[in-house]
Amino acid sequence: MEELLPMNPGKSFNNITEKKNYENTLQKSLKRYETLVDSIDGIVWEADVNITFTFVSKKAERLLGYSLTEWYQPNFWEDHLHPEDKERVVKFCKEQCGLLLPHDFEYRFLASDGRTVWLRDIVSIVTDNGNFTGLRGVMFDVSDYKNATEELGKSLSLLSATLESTADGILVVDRNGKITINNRKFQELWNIPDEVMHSKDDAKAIESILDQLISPNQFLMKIKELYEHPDWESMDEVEFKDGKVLGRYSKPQFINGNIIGRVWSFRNITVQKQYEKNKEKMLHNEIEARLEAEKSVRLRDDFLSIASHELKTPLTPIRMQIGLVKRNLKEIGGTHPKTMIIFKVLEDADKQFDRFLKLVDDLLDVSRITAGRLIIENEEINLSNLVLQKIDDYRPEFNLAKCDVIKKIEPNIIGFWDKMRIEQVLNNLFSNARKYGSGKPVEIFLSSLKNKDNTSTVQLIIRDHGIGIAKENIPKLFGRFERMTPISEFGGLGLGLYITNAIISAHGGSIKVESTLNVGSSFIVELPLSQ
Amino acid sequence: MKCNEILIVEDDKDIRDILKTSLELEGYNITTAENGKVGLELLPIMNKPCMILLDLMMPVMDGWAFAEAIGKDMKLAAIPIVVVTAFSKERTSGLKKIKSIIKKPIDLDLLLNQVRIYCGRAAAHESR
Repeated sequence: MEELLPMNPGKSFNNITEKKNYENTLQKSLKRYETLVDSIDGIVWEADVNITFTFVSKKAERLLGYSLTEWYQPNFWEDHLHPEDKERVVKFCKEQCGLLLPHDFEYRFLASDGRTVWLRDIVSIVTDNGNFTGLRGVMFDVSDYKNATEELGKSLSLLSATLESTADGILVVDRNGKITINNRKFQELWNIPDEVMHSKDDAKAIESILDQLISPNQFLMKIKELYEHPDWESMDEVEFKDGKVLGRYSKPQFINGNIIGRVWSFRNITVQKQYEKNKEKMLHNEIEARLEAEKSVRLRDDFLSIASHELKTPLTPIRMQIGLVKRNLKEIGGTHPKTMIIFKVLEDADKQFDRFLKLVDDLLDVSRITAGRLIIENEEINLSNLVLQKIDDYRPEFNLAKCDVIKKIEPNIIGFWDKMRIEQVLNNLFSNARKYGSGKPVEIFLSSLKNKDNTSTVQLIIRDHGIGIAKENIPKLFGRFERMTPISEFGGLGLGLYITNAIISAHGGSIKVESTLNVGSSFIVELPLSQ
Repeated sequence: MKCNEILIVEDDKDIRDILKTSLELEGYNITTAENGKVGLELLPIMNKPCMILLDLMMPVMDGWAFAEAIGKDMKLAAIPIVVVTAFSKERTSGLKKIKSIIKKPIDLDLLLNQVRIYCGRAAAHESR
């Protein structure tokens, strides 16, 4: 490579040829020098002591859009500095020049089209015998770098703001056990002293928190395991001696598919855990309470059963004793006039006995209904025949009350019902009709009706023409212990319709009443007919 | 073959007595036991009964246990058992091998009808 010759205006030549050669060489050298300067991707410049440019390379025009003439104007540099940077930059430059120090700095410069361009300026001082005579330097466009740095700064600030605003404690540790980053929440959750945090040493941080934990060994084992398997994710809970519980979640940190560390996040789940514990406790209590309730239901059922047994046990010999006397009186009494009188007394005693028995049964039924233990045991019955049978059974009562019975019974309605309970319903309704409709006919209708959905309903209507029920009393009619009439005139506990309604409901049926005061009442029972 | 023998297993003395008296007046031979255990002890040594009238709730051995024990004994399993009880249907539905249930308080005529089914009309009654 040829050397660049120094320019030396005072050089003397021996002949023309030598001079020519020298000039040629000089031209070439200058050309190469210019090409070299212009090929640098920056502005090569020289300036005088007032920082007015005396030379700029051609790149200056392209980079900032100003012509070279403009560049050589006095104060060009200062005038085109970004207003926000101007004071700082000029002051710094002049200080450095005063101290004859080369300097390297960055500032914003305004391009001719109004753009802001970031320049890095590397400046050296030109001196002559120790005196400051000018400046020389290179400017590079560092806008891209600057913008990237700014973006990076934004990302960092976003990251930092995110880290600090999250309710979780976050810790990032690199593969050498050095803490890369953490948020304040992390430090708070773990009560780690500042000096430990500042050391950035994960091992130290771990050591500082161990004595707070219930199972430090387990905690350490988990960490060891995860550091041995950098690609694992994990999720578990850490329990503190003071009752605090942290949820621990850990995930590897990747860059370009390579694991460079591990991110840990910790969440305070103490309240949640307590809630879960309470919920468990509540659930447990609930189960206990249910078992207790079931036990008391069982006890009550047993009591009802035993009460029924105990109440009826003493009645048994009385009934049989009456029966025995009646039966044998006929045989031995013969035609003695007193025989018939005694027999009549025994008959009356039997009736009183029935009344008493009915009261006991009603009270037991009410207890069963209240306890929700009215059990229906269905069997196939011919309801038509049952109703006819009951009418016959009840005929003496109707006759006594001077009630003619008008009946219209559809034959052979067969379905599944509880025979004993249906008899009870009929008894109650017949008894009411007789009681409140004495002296007037009683109508009894039984029929089956086809429903729209192809199912069938059985309808039983018992109509009396007696005292009727006042409108305001109708809603109360099926209530417990409700009585619409004075006890002095009409006896009973007022339980009949309550029990009747319960039995019909238990069969999936319904009962309603249509009544007019002093005209009479119709009780309409509807039962689903399933065959 | 006529059979007059009836075993009554009932813990309540008043009920036991009136049952015994009523049935004896009709001409039957009555043996009584105050619980299932006594009943089981009496069965092998008494004349084989044509029926057993059985109460359910009794001390020592109740009617359910008695009926089960009878059911397992080949010699006794064929004896008809009629239960007399104050229990409602739900408490008696579990009983097997029971011919019928008479509810307490017992209607004498109903009882005698049942007795006649298994034992026939008693001699004393027939003689009249």
